[in-house]
Amino acid sequence: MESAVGVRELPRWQVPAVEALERAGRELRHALAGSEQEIGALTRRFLEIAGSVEGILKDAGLVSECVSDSLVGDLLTAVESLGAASQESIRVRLLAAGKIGETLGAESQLLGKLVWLARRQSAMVRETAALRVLTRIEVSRLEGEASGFQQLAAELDEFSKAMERSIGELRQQTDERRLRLEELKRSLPEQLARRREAFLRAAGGLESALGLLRQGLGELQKTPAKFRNSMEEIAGQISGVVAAIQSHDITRQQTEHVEEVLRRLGAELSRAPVERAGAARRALLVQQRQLDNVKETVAQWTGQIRRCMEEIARIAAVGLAETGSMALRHERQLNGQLEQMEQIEETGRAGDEKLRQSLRELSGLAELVRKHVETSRVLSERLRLILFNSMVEARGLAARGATLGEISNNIRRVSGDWVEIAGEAEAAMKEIVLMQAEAGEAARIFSESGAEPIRLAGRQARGAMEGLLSAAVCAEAKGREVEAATWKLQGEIVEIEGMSERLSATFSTLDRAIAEMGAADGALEEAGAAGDGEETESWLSALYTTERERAVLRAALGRGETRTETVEAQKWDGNSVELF
Amino acid sequence: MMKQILAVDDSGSVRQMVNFTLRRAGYEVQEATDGRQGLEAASRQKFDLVVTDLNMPNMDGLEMIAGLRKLPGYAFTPILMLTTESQPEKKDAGRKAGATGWIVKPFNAEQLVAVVQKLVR
Repeated sequence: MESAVGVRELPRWQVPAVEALERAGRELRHALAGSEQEIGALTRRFLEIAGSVEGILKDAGLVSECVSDSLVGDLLTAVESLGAASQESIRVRLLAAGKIGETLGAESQLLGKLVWLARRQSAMVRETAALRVLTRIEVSRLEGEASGFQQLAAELDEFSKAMERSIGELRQQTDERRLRLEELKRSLPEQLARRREAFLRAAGGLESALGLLRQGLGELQKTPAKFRNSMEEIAGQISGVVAAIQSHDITRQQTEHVEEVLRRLGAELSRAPVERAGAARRALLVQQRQLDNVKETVAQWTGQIRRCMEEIARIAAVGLAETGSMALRHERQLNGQLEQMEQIEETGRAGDEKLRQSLRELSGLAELVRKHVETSRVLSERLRLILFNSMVEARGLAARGATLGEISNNIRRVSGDWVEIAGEAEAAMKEIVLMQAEAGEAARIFSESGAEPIRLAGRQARGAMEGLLSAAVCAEAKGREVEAATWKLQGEIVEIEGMSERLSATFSTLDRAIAEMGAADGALEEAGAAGDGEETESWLSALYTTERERAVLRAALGRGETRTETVEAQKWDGNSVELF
Repeated sequence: MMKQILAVDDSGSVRQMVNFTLRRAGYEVQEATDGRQGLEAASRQKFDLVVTDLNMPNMDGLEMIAGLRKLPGYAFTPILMLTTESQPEKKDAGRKAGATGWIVKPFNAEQLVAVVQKLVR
């Protein structure tokens, strides 16, 4: 660039100083042009990134809205109800299973009694057969005089056969039932223990699952607050970048002022005598200090931009993207728990059905006993009727009918016993049937009464789950968008880091400018210019527009400490705000 | 309707930072590069608040404020000076010209929004 002051016409002592000043000015103009371009590019890129961050925040806000407090609250209530219903169902089942176990034990005892009664009836059948034989012998001996007894013998024969059949059938059925009962009794304690253990395990699992769920849902409830915190943190970091970009602009102005001073010094030196060059040397010193300050500030704020942007990316990636996946994770966990509860209920229901089936088997036996008792009663009645006629006939035969009278008494006794035993069997069977009804009712109650609250609570939980599922789907979709956007952001931040580096590099030419200013100062010193000048401060101060520049000026002239505000001290709290 | 704000500064970066900060807070922002442009924009359209730099080419902030106060409808419009200057005599000049407040650069985003919210209701 051609010198504005015409260096060739200058006195010999001035030439090296003015040339050095011009070279320094060129370096500064180069730095200024480069930095203006870089700051502009940095600003534009930052605004684009800030737009991306705002988009991410908006999406993350939607995730947060998806998982509302009321939704989580509803679900928590429904899940608590389901847990309570399942626990109650397990408790009722255990009680009912115990009741059925007791019933089966009592039934087994009653069946034992039935078998004993059937044995007694078998003995009576044998006795009846013997009495029939004796009757026939006597009828044969009396040769037609005891026709009633002949009919009695025929009746006894029929009675014995019918009873034998009935008892045989009853004993067979009773034995089979007893065998099954014995098997059931043997396996029942083991089955009950297994079920108790399974239920208790399920109850424990349910309790810990509910605990985890409560914890998870509690975390989910905190999502909006977490999101707000993340947003605040991001807003803080964005403010930091806003302040840093302004600060870059301020340092650029500071550099502009230095360049302006150098231009004025060049012009001043071209016409001033050597005695006045002292002021120029002082001004040069100040400008060197100003550029040092610019370098320091640029480095601090460039670092600050990098830290802020990295922090924005970190918060966006960790704090926000997690929101969606967290909602989904909990939805899956919850679904798993609901399925587990339903499985427990299903397994329980299958077990109940086996027991109820076992109880239904009793019905067949009860019917058989009823028939047996009925047959016994009808036959006994008929026997008694014939017996009455035979006894009258025996009395008519007087001494010759004494044996028949004895036989008649025995038949009457057997018949009485028979009816009595049939009555006992009937009573035993009634008791069994009653117990069966009670056990059946217990089975029905635990199967149905336990299931209904679970079904109801399950429906409620499912309803709330559907809400959470929609929320989770929304959250997942938004979470993915947030994640993708944060990945993109990471790339953009790397780019902005590169831009910060370039900006720093632009200001590296300041070193060359400072060196040239040193050369100019050396030339002036050699020419005999003294390093003073009272008027320096006032004209430089008028040129500077920032307190920072004035502070550097004061320090350079030995009027005070350089109050170079560090980034740590200044942060982005901003400077003073004053309302008039 | 969104409140209208005029940001006047010869630095593009600062204008963009003001615009970005206030837009995020829900304001509509228009930009002008110096006092003259700012005055022209204000005479075409009524703004609810003006944020202006002090040192600008063509027309500085003080001159622009004086001009604005003469425009119809701007007698009581809040005008904030946003400048690197912090000398009491400069502030005094600003107050005399008709500025409502003085913010020293670099501004803090939350602080700027808070001041604007206080002045524009």
